[in-house]
Amino acid sequence: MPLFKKILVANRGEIAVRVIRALRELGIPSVAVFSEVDRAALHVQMADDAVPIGPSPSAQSYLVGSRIIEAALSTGADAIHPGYGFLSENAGFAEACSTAGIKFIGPSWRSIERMGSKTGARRVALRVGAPVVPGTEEGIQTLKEARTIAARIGYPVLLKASAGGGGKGMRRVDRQGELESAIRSASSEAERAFGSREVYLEKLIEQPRHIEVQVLGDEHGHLIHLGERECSVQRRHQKVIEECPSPLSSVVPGLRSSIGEAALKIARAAEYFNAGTLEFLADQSGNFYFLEMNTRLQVEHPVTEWATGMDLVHWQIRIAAGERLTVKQEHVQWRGCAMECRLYAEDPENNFFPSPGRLVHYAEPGGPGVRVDGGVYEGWTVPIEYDPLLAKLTVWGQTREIAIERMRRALAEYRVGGITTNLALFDAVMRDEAFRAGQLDTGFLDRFMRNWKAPEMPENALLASMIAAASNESKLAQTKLAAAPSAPSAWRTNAIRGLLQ
Amino acid sequence: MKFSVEAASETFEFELGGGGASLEYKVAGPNEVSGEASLVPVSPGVYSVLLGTESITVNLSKTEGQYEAACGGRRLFLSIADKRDRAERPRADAGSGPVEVRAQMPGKIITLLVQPGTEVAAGQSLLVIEAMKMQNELKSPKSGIVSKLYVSEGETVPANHRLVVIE
Repeated sequence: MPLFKKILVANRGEIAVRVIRALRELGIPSVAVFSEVDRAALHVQMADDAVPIGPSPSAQSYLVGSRIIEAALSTGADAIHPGYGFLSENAGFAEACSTAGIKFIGPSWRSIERMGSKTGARRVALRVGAPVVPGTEEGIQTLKEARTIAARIGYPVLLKASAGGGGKGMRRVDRQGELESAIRSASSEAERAFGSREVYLEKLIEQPRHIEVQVLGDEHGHLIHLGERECSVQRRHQKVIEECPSPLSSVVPGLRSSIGEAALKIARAAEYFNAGTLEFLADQSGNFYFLEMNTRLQVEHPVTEWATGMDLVHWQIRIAAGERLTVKQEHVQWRGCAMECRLYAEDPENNFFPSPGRLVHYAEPGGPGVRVDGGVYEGWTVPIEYDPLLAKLTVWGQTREIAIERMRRALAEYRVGGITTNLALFDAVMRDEAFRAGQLDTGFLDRFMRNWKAPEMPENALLASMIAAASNESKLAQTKLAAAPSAPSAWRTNAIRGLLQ
Repeated sequence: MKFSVEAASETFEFELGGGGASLEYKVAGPNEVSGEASLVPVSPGVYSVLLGTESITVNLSKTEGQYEAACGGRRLFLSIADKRDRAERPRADAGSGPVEVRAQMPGKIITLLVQPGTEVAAGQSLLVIEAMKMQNELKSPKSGIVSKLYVSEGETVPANHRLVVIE
């Protein structure tokens, strides 16, 4: 008997494509949903059915749960995979699915509710005795309270949005005098981003590493961890490069089992099932502190899949269908090193300004040890409305050194023309001494960018480009280039700036 | 064929001859580069170039007259002008009356090849101007006599500066 009759994928871009691929492998028909601007998107082309769900802004399409549930009912889908972002961590949506008789592929809406709030997740961690960063358990109510707590745990402290993620509503505060204005700006940023002004305080760990643990559990109480991921290479709290295992694991023996055990304790207390990730801050000696839980599939799940050989999306679907997770903790093994680079349509030379537009050329790398999870194709116009993630390039190597060299090889094979991407930045990071030595912390990329200059095109590549352009220009050309549509117009550039404000 | 190529904030005087698998190229200037190359279009906008034996793939697109080349993870913009086309481009007043020759870019006058009163043919070199280490010969847009010379050797001129009038 098939696991499900049909599954609707309530997402877009590379993660929708990733889930549709898994569905095809499992023999389950797929339903895509799309906004107006996504009519020709890759996930629409790859799905068996596709349903329009509204205008381009996500608030009128990908975030409208009722429309997505309607689309599932009208196409005969009996389950919804939410991907990441959008409605994936929305307890109300998960509950609405279940009310409509549709299986939400993820944890129970009660787990989402309990673990989705950072303060709630922290309470659970404290209850089971897992280490947490010293700070408030509740949102801050008054300035006086904030001052007392900050003085107790000691500056520098970090203000964070209770409902948030991705660095929004987050402020570093170095002294008491900065506290009031930091609370004000963090609260209003949190309100704009998440609809809640609540912020909380915690101790700032200097030179921290961002290490997270993947967990997977079935609906019968069996829960395992799939090890750690190193996600310290980030910019404004957005991850850029991830790897499994963490280089810290080879320096601190026993880190994986102790951090894995801590993650399991918290997840068990939340009666968690399906795939989830527990994020920790770790100092350079391997002391770790629970930060928050992501109650969904993670962008960077491919590195764990590759190191452990387990397909997380397959398991998510099988678990949602009620199957037992047949893998025991002692069966999980980690092989080699898997590393992921997130290819974004943004310009690292111009303060990472988004660079949407038409992909005039697009060719992905291949060959041994290379996996590309892409959501775009040559000729596709990257819309301005959504996250500028184009694709994730993941490589595997028997050792970290081999993985790094393989990543450089794959990056050189990547061809993107028409829009600016962060490709050139990755090659520079792969050559960086500290990166190669695994000496990472969440400030790595900011420091790296201070000394980084976009590499010039090598002389012979410049010469070859001139020959190709001149030949095309001359009467010698056998085939002439069709003129591409014009560059993004001023209104579009202004629209992007508007979005950034 | 000769081209003026602007790339990487430099202007190159670039010459390309032959065809298809056996091209000859020359980049003029103090560090002149020349050699043989082969170029094959492999798919629309994608060219396989062999510089001698060095294999380089270039992805090329053209937007509003400007080329974008993507090569080995880097992107580059190129503006390219066919120098013969430019020299032969008829001016509004070509054939009759004086024609002003202006500097196309800021630069330094290296050599004057004509004096007032010199008789010149269309396409004949008038002077050599150097910009960003690249030397560029300015050619007469028409046949006639040099009636005015506004610059002298060694002088630095801004873009669009008047250089020579041909009557």
